[in-house]
Amino acid sequence: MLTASNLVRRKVFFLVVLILTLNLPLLVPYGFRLIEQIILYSGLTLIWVILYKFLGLFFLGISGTVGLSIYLVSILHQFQISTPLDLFAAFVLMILILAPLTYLVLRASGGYFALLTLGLNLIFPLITSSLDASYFSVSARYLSFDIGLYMHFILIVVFFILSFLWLYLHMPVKLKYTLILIKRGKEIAESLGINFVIYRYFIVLLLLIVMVVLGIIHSTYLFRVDTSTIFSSELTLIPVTAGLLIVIKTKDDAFIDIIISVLVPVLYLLFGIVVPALVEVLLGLLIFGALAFMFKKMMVSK
Amino acid sequence: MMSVARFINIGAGAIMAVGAYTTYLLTSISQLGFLATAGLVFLTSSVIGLVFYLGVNKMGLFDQPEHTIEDLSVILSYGFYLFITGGLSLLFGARYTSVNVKLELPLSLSFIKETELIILIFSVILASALHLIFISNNNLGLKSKAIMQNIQSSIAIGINTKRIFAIVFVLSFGVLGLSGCLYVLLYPLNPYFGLYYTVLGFVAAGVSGVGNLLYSFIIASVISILYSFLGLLIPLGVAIAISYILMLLILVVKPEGLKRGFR
Repeated sequence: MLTASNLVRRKVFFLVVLILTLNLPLLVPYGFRLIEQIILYSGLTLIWVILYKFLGLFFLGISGTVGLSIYLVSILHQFQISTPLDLFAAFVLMILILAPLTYLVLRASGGYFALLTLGLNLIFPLITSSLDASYFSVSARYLSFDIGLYMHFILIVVFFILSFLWLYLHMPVKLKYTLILIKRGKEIAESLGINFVIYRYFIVLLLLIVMVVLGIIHSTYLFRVDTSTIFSSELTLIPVTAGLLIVIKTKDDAFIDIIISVLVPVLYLLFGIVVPALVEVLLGLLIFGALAFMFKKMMVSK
Repeated sequence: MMSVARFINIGAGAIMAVGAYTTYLLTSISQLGFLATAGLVFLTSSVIGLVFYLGVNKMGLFDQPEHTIEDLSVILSYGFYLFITGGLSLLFGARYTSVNVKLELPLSLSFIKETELIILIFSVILASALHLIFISNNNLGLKSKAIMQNIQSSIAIGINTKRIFAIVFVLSFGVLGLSGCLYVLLYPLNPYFGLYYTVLGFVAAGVSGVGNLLYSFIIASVISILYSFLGLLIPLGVAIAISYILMLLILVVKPEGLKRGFR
């Protein structure tokens, strides 16, 4: 009989199979970097979609957050701080930066929140490039981490936790309903005894910290760090597009969502690196098409 | 667009890029003067605005509640931004391109450059024109102010909101295209340059209070002057960041903006 616990067990089993499948490219040269990129984008997608679907926050500052984490690691690495102390110090510094910043941007909501967080993608590179040009007098830094397999294991664990959180949020659990109430607004949440400001702040901060962890792990795979590459628009573009596809699609199945979060980066890595601009055009059209379809559905249901 | 149509346009920077590249094309293939070029750019961008509005309206966005329009407009305009910037990258490449525009100002001033003076004059004219159209007490201005307060009530008293939205889209896109045309007088362009101005514009609108055109104009000017001065003392990037954080702090203290608008 297909009970709820059976269903969860089955999904976790499929998740394990998915992760093992993801690791197949380890057998080929460069497979390591390929998996890392797929898992990075997939993890970012899951974070984005949790923020959007359960908190109603259209977060666009992904490349700013991830890029700044990589930048801090590269600076600490430049000062010859030993690994993993440099990674940990970058992590702490990012929390110190994000804690007040999250509070500030959460003052806005809806489209205003989207634009404020989009600002982070522009402000952080401006700061880092100015610092590089004026104080550090470098145009790029070269990293040499020799901890590939160890980091790869942590990356898989983070991905597994995020995927499990996503599956968990699709079950009838207290956390899911708390988040939905927070999404509905301050009055509704507080009338049911939920501290709207504190809850929302800590959940968003926690998800951003996971994003920072992904960024820091990503930095250990890089050899060269400069502002134009670490704040690349793909870091925002791919998770948002995959996330939108997850939100817009009609069938509400958490496992299919995880598959989409993996497939979109795979497709990007297959085709997008050759002609990224064409992918942008297609993604733009895809968003239009999906929304048009959604509106049509809404009209029919009315 | 934000005040009247509730449309939060992340794609504003893409229209600026369209205006800038139209200027680039027109100046490359013809010997048109700046005013004629600017006129054509305005026309092209306005047509794009009209087509975009008709498409979005056909989808049924403006039949939704106000908060749904605000939320979904972000996604829609993000798709639009990707489509336009990706398209421009495919056509022109993502590298920086300089534009050679002929200016026709028979003046030689020592305190300001000719291009800067033209940009200043254009900006003041545009801000005044928009203020006159949407805020002053003429027929369109009164209707716009009514829609800014409540869309449903405006429909109830017989205002054709969709016609006003169409005018807003046409004029906004036209002005955005024109600002792209002015941008190329000073800087080289690439398809993504407009994103920074989108954020700056939004924050200026947020700080001044949504629906306050005049205040938005003043705040945007103050921000630009502030980071230009700060840029003399500290690296420009850090100066811009300080200005941005200052504005965030203002929004924390006064979420409705410094001066309450019509909403």
